Amino acid sequence: MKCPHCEAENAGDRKFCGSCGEPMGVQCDRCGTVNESHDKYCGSCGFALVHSSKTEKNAELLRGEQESLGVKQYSEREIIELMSLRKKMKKEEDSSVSLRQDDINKLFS
Amino acid sequence: MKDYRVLIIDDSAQHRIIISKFLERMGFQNIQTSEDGASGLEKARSLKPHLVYLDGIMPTMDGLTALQEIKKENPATIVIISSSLSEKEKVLRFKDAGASFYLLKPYERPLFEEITHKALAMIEAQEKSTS
Repeated sequence: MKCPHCEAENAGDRKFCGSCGEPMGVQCDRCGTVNESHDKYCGSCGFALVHSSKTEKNAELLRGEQESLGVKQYSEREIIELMSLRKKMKKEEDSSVSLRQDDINKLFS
Repeated sequence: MKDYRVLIIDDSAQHRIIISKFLERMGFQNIQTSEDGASGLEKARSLKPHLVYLDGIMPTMDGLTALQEIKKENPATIVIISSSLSEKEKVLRFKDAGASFYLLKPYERPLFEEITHKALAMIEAQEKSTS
């Protein structure tokens, strides 16, 4: 069994590479179990391995999954702008809401 | 019923009559009316009313402008907005301009009387604090 990091040959039951010390598969971020490289969920605790970011392999899996789903990666600045726009839209939506007499009484109390 | 001076400013003759009837039923005697904001403001200057029922949308001068002018000239006058405008933003503009109460048209007599009694209590409290 080849190590996914340094390609050194390891025994089939090994969880970590005897040559470079890296996990022999995808390590679960939640419980630390090393799973097979093709696993999507941790065999020990069921955590979605595509959400793990500890290893490059997992990060690649995450990017690949997001791309296949058409998920856009936003920069911090874009997120701030979008949050500001959302807040503005919410305010406009709120101000155009039609009130009932009970709501008006509360406003004037 | 104390002789409260009341002014109704509404471009709808029907609403002027309804409000007048409601007030007469409650015992008010000194009731005057105007059919638009500009003439209403003139009447408010001469009458110095305790209480004004003011429509929101009117020709020559809208309710918001009339309210601002009335409150500027006589801050003690209690103004009740009587309008079909229900958008929160517009309602809040009237509140910010000094309206004390807001009756959303169409309304029933019990609500009108409830709000009017609250307005009278406010007038009484004002008079006590200044005397």
